[in-house]
Amino acid sequence: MEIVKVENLVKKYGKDENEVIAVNNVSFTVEKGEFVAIVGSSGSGKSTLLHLIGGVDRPTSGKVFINGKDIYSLKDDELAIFRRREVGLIYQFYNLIPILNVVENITLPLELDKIQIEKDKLDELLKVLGLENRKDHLPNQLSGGQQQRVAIGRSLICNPSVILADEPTGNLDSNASEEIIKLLKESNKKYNQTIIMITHNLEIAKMADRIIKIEDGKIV
Amino acid sequence: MKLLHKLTIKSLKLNKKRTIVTIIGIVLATALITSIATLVSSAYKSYCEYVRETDGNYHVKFNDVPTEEIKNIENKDSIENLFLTQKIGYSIYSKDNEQANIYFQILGFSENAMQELGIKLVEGRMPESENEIVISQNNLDIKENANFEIGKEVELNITNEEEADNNSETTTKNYKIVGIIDVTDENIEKDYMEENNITYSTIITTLSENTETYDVYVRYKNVINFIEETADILGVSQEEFNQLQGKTLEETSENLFFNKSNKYTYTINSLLTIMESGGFGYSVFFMIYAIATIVMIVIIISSVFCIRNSFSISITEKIKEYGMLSSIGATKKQIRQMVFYEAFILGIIAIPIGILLGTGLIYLFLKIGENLLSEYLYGIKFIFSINIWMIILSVVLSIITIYFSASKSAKKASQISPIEAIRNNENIDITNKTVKSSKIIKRMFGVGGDIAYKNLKRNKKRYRTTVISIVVSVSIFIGMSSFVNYVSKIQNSYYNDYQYNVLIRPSNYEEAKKAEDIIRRLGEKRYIVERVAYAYCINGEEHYSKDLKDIINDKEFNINPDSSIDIYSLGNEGYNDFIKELGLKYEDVKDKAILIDYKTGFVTLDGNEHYKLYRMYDYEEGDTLEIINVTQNDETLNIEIAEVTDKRLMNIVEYGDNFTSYIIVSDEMMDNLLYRDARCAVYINSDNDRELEEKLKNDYDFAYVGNIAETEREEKAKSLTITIFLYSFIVIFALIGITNIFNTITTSMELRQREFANLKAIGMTNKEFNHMIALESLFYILKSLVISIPIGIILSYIVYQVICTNIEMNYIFPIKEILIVIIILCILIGGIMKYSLNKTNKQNIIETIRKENI
Ligand SMILES: Nc1ncnc2c1ncn2[C@@H]1O[C@H](COP(=O)(O)OP(=O)(O)O)[C@@H](O)[C@H]1O
Ligand SMILES: [Mg+2]
Repeated sequence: MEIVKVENLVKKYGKDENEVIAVNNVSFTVEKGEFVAIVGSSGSGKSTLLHLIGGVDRPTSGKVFINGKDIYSLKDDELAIFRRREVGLIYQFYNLIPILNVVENITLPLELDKIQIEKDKLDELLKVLGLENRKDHLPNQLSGGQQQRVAIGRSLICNPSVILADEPTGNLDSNASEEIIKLLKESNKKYNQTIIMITHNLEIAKMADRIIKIEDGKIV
Repeated sequence: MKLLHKLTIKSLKLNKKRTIVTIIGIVLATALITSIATLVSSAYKSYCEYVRETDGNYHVKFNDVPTEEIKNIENKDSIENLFLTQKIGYSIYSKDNEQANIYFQILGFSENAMQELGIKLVEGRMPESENEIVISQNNLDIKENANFEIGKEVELNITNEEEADNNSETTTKNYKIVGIIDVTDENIEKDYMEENNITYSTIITTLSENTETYDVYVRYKNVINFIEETADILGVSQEEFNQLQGKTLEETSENLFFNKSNKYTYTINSLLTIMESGGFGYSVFFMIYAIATIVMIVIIISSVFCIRNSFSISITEKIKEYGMLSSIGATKKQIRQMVFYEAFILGIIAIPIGILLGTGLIYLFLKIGENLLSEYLYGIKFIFSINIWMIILSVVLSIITIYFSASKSAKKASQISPIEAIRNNENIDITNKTVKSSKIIKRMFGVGGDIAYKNLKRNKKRYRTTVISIVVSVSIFIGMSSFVNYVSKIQNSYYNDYQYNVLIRPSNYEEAKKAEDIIRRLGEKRYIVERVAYAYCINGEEHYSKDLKDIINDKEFNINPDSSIDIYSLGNEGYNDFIKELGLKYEDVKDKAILIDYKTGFVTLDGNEHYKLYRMYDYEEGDTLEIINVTQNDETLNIEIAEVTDKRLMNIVEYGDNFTSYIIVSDEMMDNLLYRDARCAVYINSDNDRELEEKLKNDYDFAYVGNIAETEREEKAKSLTITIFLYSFIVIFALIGITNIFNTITTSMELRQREFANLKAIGMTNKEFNHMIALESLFYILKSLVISIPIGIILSYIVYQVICTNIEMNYIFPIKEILIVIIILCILIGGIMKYSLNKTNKQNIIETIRKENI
């Protein structure tokens, strides 16, 4: 079953002489439960592509279907709600809300939907994330790896159609990196979670089911 | 240039928006301090100039100085300017109508005197020879009453006797009228003097050589040495002088006047002397200075706060950058230097702009104000004046503030460890306390409310800055508004609020009756036909009230009331209006008296002086007054008191500071009390005062027709000027407050852009987001109001206590100010938040997140 479908996606920045085509007519699909790694040199357009899939940016042309839905046909607010339910985003810098503690950060997407979290499910998730003893901590009281695990927890909490991770280990040491990848892999196996992940690290990329290589905004 | 300095400038240029916001903050704070300083010194200069123009530009006038002694005075170093006038004589002038006379004083003026004394040329020109004269129109309707025209020759019988009558020895002289003047100096000509149908007026000609004495007007170089110099000229020793010196300049003047050892009698131009010497030693001015000092301190504190705020925000935003620098090896000292260098650059740009802006704004304000209000200002000029010391003070204050803000930030910047600075992307102390009432909030306001509330609870510091800046602004605004309210109230209470405008003074009661007929025919409804009989109370002393006894016992005042009590009747219409206002019936009171014995003045209570309304007697309703009617051959009367009141119909009877009380009786009763004519007058409250005045003057032949409204308008102009200056204080305060709040909130919103973008990336809709921010604003407003309103009320009470120590006045609860503040605050914060929201909602989420990640 196709969960993500990208059709002739183009994203241009700037005008005339300064024009940069960050994503150049890209098309591909991702099946449910797939773990895809996107690799490519710096500035090749990986992040731009990922943001377009995640619905946080708007393409110059082309379409993105998630779960069969053309996400750019949605209005801003509909897209926001779609994002909160169907997409989990993870960045290199963890981008947690500084005033919310671990549990509050993780459950934020559910709160936005006014859904009551089942305690068992949360406890299990915290255990998987290894954050059982850090529930009440605020982001600035956590290590980088721990913060990234909170971000992963936040993206997993509402069983999104797809998790999009932009160099989730880019800012971590090798031990912490390994843990994060293990965690992603585990959720891929355990919950049959579709994951698209950008990485620089070929070792890490090899752990994925499929590798997509991007050069100058094109798939090669 | 050092590399780090270059870096500082580059980063200021790169963060253009932030740099500009900081500069604006400093500019505004500096501008506000300078504008207040300029406003104060301009108000002071304007008032001094006004006093100089109306009362004359001199400090003291020595009377009858022998010609040969003038040189001695003129040669003194301490004297800046000296000019002479001369009493030429007095003249009684009968116009065609036999009954009305004009009593002229004829003065000779030196050229200087014509310019520097309080006279204004209305028409024609000033006299250039001893045969030319100008006539004062102050008390005299020259054309109507006397038929004096420019160019006309008049023959005057001049006498040297002040108490001249028709039998005095006179010389005759012919004069040519060359101009008409307005005398504003009451030392030259008192306002409205009319007794026994004689009008007093002034004629001015040039100085003639052949006199033995002159009146010498002196202006000192340094008014501070006023008393010393004056004593010197009078030939009084220091010791004698100290004995003679009174508490106030007026008292001193009086003491010296009666002292035999001084060479000349003299008159002080007291208001100008007081104003120019800074008003010290004069209790009203002392109060104003005390308050002005408090005001200045308050302004300084709030401006300091404003600068500190905008500056520290700029620095904390750069913490990350400093962290990075220290990670590549910059020492703490170097970082501190960078912060100070930044402060230096910002200050050197912002302070001069602030000063120019502050003074420029006041200049414009005065120019525009003068143009817009010229109609109401009656010749009061707004003079723009910069006080250099005030400017220096504001510069120093700005520098000190920036320095302390910078050093605080520098310390913070240099102490933070590099990795913390880079990683800890939000430089805020966040406490992870469990937020209890969170559930209720969530149920009431949804997630948005929940997050907003947690923000308030956990991110204390960010909130504190905002809340403090609102609290400071709001409480100061409330306090200052009360201040202005009290001051303008006191100030307005100095002016009698006349409720009539046109005044007719008939020659006798018959003419008054005629006047009544005429005005009734002209359709006027509100008028009084007043008759007065002079009388005094037998055994009045036994009925003095406690307040009056206190005043009599107070040595300082040295007064001795004579129990005089005047009898007024108001005409049938007026009397009926009056008793209706008091809720009385004509039949009940027509043979009785209504007693008005209220006075305003200083009364000593528990050792403190209080300015209040008090009663002179302890007579009450039903008591019988025993009075002697002086006007009616000292006839003794017994009149029962029907009512005691402080009401005055159309305010014709003033409380005043003399010690006469009044009884008001019906016309019927007055007819019985008086066999012959008494002083009478007709007061009219007309809607078309100018037309009525014209008509009465042109078509009828009354002894005097005047329009009080004109005089009153002039008084109002003075009061208006002061009110304008006072309210511009309030505007400036409101501006400080608004700037402060605006600065704090926009910056705080700016700093949180990434947090907002994150919330949106997670899937918060614009609607939810706006809801959250709206609630956050609400929390800000509520929290700050809860703190600032009580503080504001306390401040306004302190202001009340300070201002009203000597004056009996009720505390006014500042409810109006509080409402204004709530409305302004809602509009302001709502507006700022909406503005920031629009900006945030338009921004590309991912770009915001990226930008902040470097
Ligand atoms: N907001 C932007 N404006 C202009 N150019 C941009 C912007 N964002 C990205 N680019 C350009 O698009 C290209 C792709 O960027 P990006 O997707 O971030 O690359 P990657 O993540 O593979 O390093 C780069 O050349 C970058 O300079
Ligand atoms: Mg990238």
